[in-house]
This record gives sequence, structure tokens and C-alpha cells, in this order.
Amino acid sequence: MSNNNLLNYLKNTPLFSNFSQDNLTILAPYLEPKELQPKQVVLEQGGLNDCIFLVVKGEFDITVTLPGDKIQHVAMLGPSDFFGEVTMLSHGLVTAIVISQDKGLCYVLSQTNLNVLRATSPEVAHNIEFRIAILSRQRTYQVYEKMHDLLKAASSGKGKMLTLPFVPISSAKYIVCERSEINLTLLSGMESLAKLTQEEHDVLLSHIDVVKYERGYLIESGESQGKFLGFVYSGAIQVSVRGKENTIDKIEVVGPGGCFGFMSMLAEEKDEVAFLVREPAVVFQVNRAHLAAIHKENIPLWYKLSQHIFAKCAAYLFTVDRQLIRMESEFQDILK
Amino acid sequence: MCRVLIYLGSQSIPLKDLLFGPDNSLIKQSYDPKLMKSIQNLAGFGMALWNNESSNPEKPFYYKTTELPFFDKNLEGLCEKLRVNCLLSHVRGVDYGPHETVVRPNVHPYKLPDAHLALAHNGSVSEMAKMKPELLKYIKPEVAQYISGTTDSEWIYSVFVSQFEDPNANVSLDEAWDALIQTFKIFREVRVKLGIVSASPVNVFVTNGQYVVVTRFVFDYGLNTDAVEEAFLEYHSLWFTYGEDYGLYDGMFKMQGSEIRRNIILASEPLTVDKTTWIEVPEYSIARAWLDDDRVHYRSFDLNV
Repeated sequence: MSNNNLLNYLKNTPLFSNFSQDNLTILAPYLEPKELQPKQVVLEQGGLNDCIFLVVKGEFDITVTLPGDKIQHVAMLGPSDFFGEVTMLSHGLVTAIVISQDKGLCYVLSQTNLNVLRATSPEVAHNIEFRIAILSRQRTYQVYEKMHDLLKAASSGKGKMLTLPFVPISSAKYIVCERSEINLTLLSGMESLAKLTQEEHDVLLSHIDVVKYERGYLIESGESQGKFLGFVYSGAIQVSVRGKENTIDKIEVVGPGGCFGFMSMLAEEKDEVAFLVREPAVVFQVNRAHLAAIHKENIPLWYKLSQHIFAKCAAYLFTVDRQLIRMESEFQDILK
Repeated sequence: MCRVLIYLGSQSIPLKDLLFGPDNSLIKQSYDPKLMKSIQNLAGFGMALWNNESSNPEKPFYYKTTELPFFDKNLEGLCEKLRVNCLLSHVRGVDYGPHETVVRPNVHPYKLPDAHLALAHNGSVSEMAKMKPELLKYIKPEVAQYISGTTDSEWIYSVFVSQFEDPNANVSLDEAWDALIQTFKIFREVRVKLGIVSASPVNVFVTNGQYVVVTRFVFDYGLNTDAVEEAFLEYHSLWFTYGEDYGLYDGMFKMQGSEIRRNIILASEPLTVDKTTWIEVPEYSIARAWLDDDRVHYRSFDLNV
């Protein structure tokens, strides 16, 4: 494919459709053609993947193996479609099997080349990762919709609640506290911050709020107060999805070293998750104003934080997807 | 610490296929667990198993040893002969040091000689020495007389079976469910009374061969201080998978078929290296599985004590 044709092709793929011509011109040399044979397994479920595949020619069958080796057909992809982006960004396990139906051609962006782009053209790398995060967010919302429907159907079925779930406590409060109150020697164990240099740690710590939450406090992710990236230093935050009739179901619990709020950093609209303080918590909070200040002071740190947010968005899609499978499997009897 | 496997199904499965078969089998997890890097589980192996075709099927076959399971010729011999409809098995992991006691009474699962319910535990209740005098108030004398080990888990079991009028009775699923929740409430109450706030994981597995109750729970999870062991900053894991048949498919032991759910496995970590056909039980959960008309049913709920 000539360079002009490649640029035209990229402009027409949903992944890069909003990229500027300059960005596409920088990106194009980092894409490598890859020919696939008929019936070739391109990605294997449970394996690792370090590439984004952009389909130029051919058809690719996507299936998922569920518990009991149940094969679920997900999609048939063709030219301009893409796959592999979520697992590459999140470094998670591949959750589907991708098989080429006939002789196919893909352009491939490898993790290695993305890393080179991060170093040489960070803006372009940032745009790619941002786009993947936005698409992951959209897909996460689709999963939420299915969860809502499932919760609604289950609540009107014969399944009764056998325990009283943990709910927000209206009297629970939070206070913003001094950084000096925190034992910073324990930061080294926080997985989310492990890739930062000492200097970047110092800059980050000078731009965060340290907030102590009481058990039962409900952080509304849609509120301005809830628009932050939260690094859990101590305690536990329960991430819950809201049902249409004010029902809440658990997605995950974030403990020390983990982070939450990454999806609400991507867009302005109200989010559909709530963060419930399950155990008394100390949270390092980075809001949009903090991020803007970090951008001015230390751009490499800003890029790292952005990468972290985008990777978390991609990884979270996997978590939400698994919980949907869990709900479906649990409610199977009720819904019949 | 520790790894646990529980199986319940209408299919009678060769014990060997469950314990040794999968590529990340419980026996392999004793020396090479995939989801815990800090410790091996070499301080004992135990199992309670039920077979519907055996004589007196309500009474489990019960085996405990401090021998390493992968060297245990008795276990190998038993595995060649026995089939199971329900299996609760456990490999025990403890700190490396002389302060630990590696003896048969400390091996899980726990079961009173005539009781129907057995229990295994993955986790660690901190400051047990301080709690024991308080917990003793909740344990029936006829149960307390059998406490012979030094583990926190035996005390969980003792409080649990003491919730029944007759600790040996074959109680219903609802009764076992309520008793387990009550046990957690008692532990919470004692912790609050004594001011204990350090993280204490209590993934508990209970069965009588007909149903299963499991928890994925940590008391005071997440408190981050110098005193907290790094392993306790992560929530102890619990996974499940289900299917129509368990056996050797495509060269590996796994579940197959999903139209009729006849079998379920819950385990501290997936038994196959491919984790994607396993589902994680959410944190702070209590779950139940039971057999009805040869089918396995499963539900989980939030555990808030």
C-alpha cells in the first residue's frame, strides 16, 4: 500500500478518523503490514497480545469461550475494523479468539512501536491511547446497560436477597487533611505509582489532595467533587454500577495501591458508577485542575498519568465484562 | 495463604482428575501457586469427600496429612480408586519459621467426628490469642473439647457449628448459611470489643456434600500501616467455573458444556492456566451452590457484617 493510500485508509478507520493529517503522517511509518493465512488463529483467548490490528483485507471471526467452554460468537470484522487494542493497552489477557476467515492483511501497531512513539511523538501516542480509552468507555457503558436490564429482570423475578447489602451511610463524612499526616515511606508499595521517578513523586504529591473518608461515604462520580483520579493509600473503595431503579451492584473493590475515577476523567457527562467507601479510606486525589498544573510543570509526569488513566479504562472494560458474565450465570435460573 | 478447592456436582468424578489433573491443579498450587508469590503451601494437605454411590453416603471420606501431597503415595493410591460428587480439599501455607506448628490437627478441612459439615479456610485472623477467651463464650463445651490444634480456622469452625442446637446435625442450606453469617458477626463483635483493626482475610468454604457455602471476605481490609503484611494489602482471591461435564477435553482437564449446569468448582485460584473461563467471586461476598434435580444452582450476595 502506498503512503497516500495508507493515509487515506487510516483516515477512514474509526480508531483514527479524528486524527489530524500531521498526526497520521507521523503514525504511518510505525505501522507494519502483516499477512494472515486462512483459518489462522491471530489471537488466542487467555494469551497475551502486544499489537493493535487494523484490518485492511479479509474477514476475522471473533468468538469468546465462556465457562463450560461455551462458544459465543461476538463479531465478524472486516476492512477498517480493528482489534487487540484493549489488551495491548491494559496488558491484560486476551478475552476472545480471533481467526482469519480467508487470506487477510492487517496493519499492525506493536507495543514496541507505541513505546517509540511515546518517546519521539508523545502527542500522537497520547491521542492513540486516549482514543482507545474513549472507545473502551463506550463499550463499558454498553455493558452497564446490559447489567441494568439484568438487574431489573432479576429483581422482578423470584430471586430474593438473602443478605442486606452494604449501603451508603448518610452521616458519613470526609475531611481534606495535610500531607504531613501520611507516612510517605509506604508509597513505594503502591502499584499505581510504581513507575514514577522520585522527582515525579514529589511533583505529584505537591499537586494532590489527601482526603480521609469515613466508612459508608458515597462519592458520586458525576459530581464535580467526584471528578478526580483517586489513588487509594489506605482502606477500600467499592465501585458499583447504578441500576435504573436505584439498585446498585458491585463491580470491584479497590484497595491500597489501586486507583479509581479514571473513567470520569475522560469526559464531562455524568458517570453511571458510584464509589462507596467500604472501609475507612485515605485517598490521594488528582482533579482536572491538578492535572492542568502538572501539565505546566512536568509534562513527562502528565503523560505518565494520562497513560495510567487510559490503561485503567481499558483494563476496567475486562473487569466489567467479567462481572456481566457472572451476573448472567447467577441469574440464569431466575430469568428462565 | 493456603489454597482451597471445592467441587459439587451430579457427575461423579475421579478424584485424581480433580486433584492432579488440571494444569494448575491444587497439588501444583502447593508448591507453585500462580496467584500468590510470597509463600508455598507445604504445611499439610487435607480433604473431605462425598460419593453418592458409597455406603453411608452422607458421611464423608476424610483424609489429613502433613506429608507433601506430591510425594504422598497413600494419596496417589486413593486417587486411583475414589470418585467424588463433592470434594473439599486444602493445602496449608504458613510462614517459614519455627514459630509455626506443622501438625495434623492444624490441617484443614475441619470436621467434628460425627458432624456432617466440614470447613476449610484461606486467610488469617490476626490477634487470635487475644480473641480466644472471648470466642470461647460462643463455643459449646461439646465442641470445645475437640479443639486440638493451634489454628484460627479451627476456632472459626468451632464457633460455626456451635450455632446449631446439635453441632452434629445435618442442617439445611439456609441454616448453615445463617450460622456462617452469625459466626462472622461474632468475630466482628469480638474484634470491635478488643479494638482489633488489622486486616484479617476469611475466605471460608463449608459443605456437607449436598450444598456449598463460601465467603470472600476480609475484616478491616485495606488498613495500610507498617505492621500490615504485604500479602494482606491484596484481597484474597476466589474463583468459580461450571459446566455440564468435567474431564479431559482438548488435552486439558476442564469443564465442558454449558446447557445443563451439572458441576461447579470454586477455588482460591483457577485450576487452568487460562483464567478467562473462570469468574471471580466479588469481594465482600457470601455465595451458595446447591444441587436440585441433578443441576447445580449458584448465587452470591453482599456480605456486610
